[in-house]
Amino acid sequence: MENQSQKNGVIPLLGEAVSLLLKNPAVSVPFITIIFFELLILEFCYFSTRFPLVNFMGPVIQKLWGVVFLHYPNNLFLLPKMIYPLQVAFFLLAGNFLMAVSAVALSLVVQNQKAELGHARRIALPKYFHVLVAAILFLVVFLFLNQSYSLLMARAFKIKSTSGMFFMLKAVIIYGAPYFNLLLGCFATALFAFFVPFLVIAKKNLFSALISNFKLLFKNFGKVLLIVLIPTIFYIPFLVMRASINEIANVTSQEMRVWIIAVGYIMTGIIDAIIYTALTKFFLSNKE
Amino acid sequence: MKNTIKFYVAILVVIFVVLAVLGYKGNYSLEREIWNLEKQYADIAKDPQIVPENAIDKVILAHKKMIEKYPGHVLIREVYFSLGNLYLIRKQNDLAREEFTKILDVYKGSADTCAEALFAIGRTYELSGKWEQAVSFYERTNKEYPITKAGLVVPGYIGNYYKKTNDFQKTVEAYDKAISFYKKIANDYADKMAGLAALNMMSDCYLAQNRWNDALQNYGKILSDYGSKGALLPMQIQALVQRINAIAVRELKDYDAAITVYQAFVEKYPKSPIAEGFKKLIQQLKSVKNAAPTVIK
Repeated sequence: MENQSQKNGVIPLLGEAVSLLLKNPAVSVPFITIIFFELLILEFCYFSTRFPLVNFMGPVIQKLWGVVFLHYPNNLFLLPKMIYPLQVAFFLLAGNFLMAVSAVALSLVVQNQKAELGHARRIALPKYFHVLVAAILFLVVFLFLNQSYSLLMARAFKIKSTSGMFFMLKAVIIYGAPYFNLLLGCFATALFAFFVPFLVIAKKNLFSALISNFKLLFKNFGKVLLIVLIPTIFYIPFLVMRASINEIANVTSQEMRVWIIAVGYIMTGIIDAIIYTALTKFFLSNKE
Repeated sequence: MKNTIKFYVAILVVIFVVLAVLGYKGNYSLEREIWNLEKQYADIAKDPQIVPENAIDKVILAHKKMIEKYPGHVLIREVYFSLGNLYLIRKQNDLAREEFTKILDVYKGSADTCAEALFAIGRTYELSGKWEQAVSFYERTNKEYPITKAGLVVPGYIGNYYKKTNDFQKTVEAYDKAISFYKKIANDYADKMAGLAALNMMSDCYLAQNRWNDALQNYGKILSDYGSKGALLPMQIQALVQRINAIAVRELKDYDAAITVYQAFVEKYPKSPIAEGFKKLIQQLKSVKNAAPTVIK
């Protein structure tokens, strides 16, 4: 089975990941849980300007963003900003750990052992702190890449040309920002593709897991990047939709902003599930 | 897996329903209703010519219903004004006046609202070609509510009207009257937002009469009185600087006029956080002045 995966290439590996997710609840439920909590955060933020949540969220919103954001429809414009820190906190404290639990469950499935969620969680739990550090490291690299792109955008805004090469360069950098950021996200994911599996499946310590991650990654960088990139392509139509969020909301309803965020979470959750399951499968086949 | 999904969806739905029901009694749903109604009004106001009559009727009816449902509610204020404005769009000025008059009674405790309503009543007369009646309401707005937005606008607005109708004598009189009113407000409410607004409107009166030097001095006073105390936002300072430079270079063709304003500020408030910026600006203006043709110098 392992050799087969190696021979088959990226698309069959992704197909196998989908099949593993559908057949093994212990592998897919952690991702469903992530989606659930992200939607719960969204729901909490959406209702934060109404009774009863406004009683304790109102002063916070007023202090951080201003009183106008307590009112319709400004509260909806604020949602992405409000959700972001909560989402980051969730990813650090629980999201990455849930992915680690899924990776353990998958390793149990591959070894033909009893793959139960509780069992997988018990195996992953002693490594919680290491997984947390891995999440922080990933986030730092991701934010660094994002920040670098922001600097590039700031430089592009200074280009005064209205035609020619430099204008084109400016247009590509500015209008392509969501797509380049997506690409940078893929790169960051690929960079730490095997870090968590080495921690929770191979049970290595932090430093040794990081070194092993890079060793395995550099041997298979192209393939790993493709594993991350191909499912991410399905996110592009959503990005296009998100870029037109104002037009869509004006034509339909302002609440569409909330629905678009919710759909985004579900899509990201599904794409992440496929990517991480495929990466873990690849890891299990190639770790030696 | 299916059961887990069902369980999570059930939790999300239950929380959604509970929070929606609990929040229903608050102002949020009313805010939402008003916003959607006001959006319909804004769409009509953007280009009334292309909107079919029955569509306007429908929006008028929706406004009336909303007012009937929440009479005098603090959030409904804009709906009253929009209804009046919709009648104005339909050229039913008398009906518009009726609506604006209702506001005076319903919101008698709110100076800003009453001032706005009085001004709106004046507009209905103006649009009907009855300037004398209009001006009486405008003057009432200014007299009864001098430091509201509408009350402050009125003197300059009357001047602009006479200018537009090419009545030279009355234009000069109206602007003189407006300038003395703004001077009084600027003095009485120095360091307050009303004082700042009065100074800005005074500058507009000077500009309307091409009194460039007076306008320039007035902008200098705004910088000095408000900019030095951090009462202006960076973008407000930027706008002031642009106006000062435009007047000096384009109208007066005298770089020194602008340099003098900035120099006076720097000398008076050397420790102000914006003084450094003005020092650089003075240097830039001097170098541009030296490079400019003799006529502009």
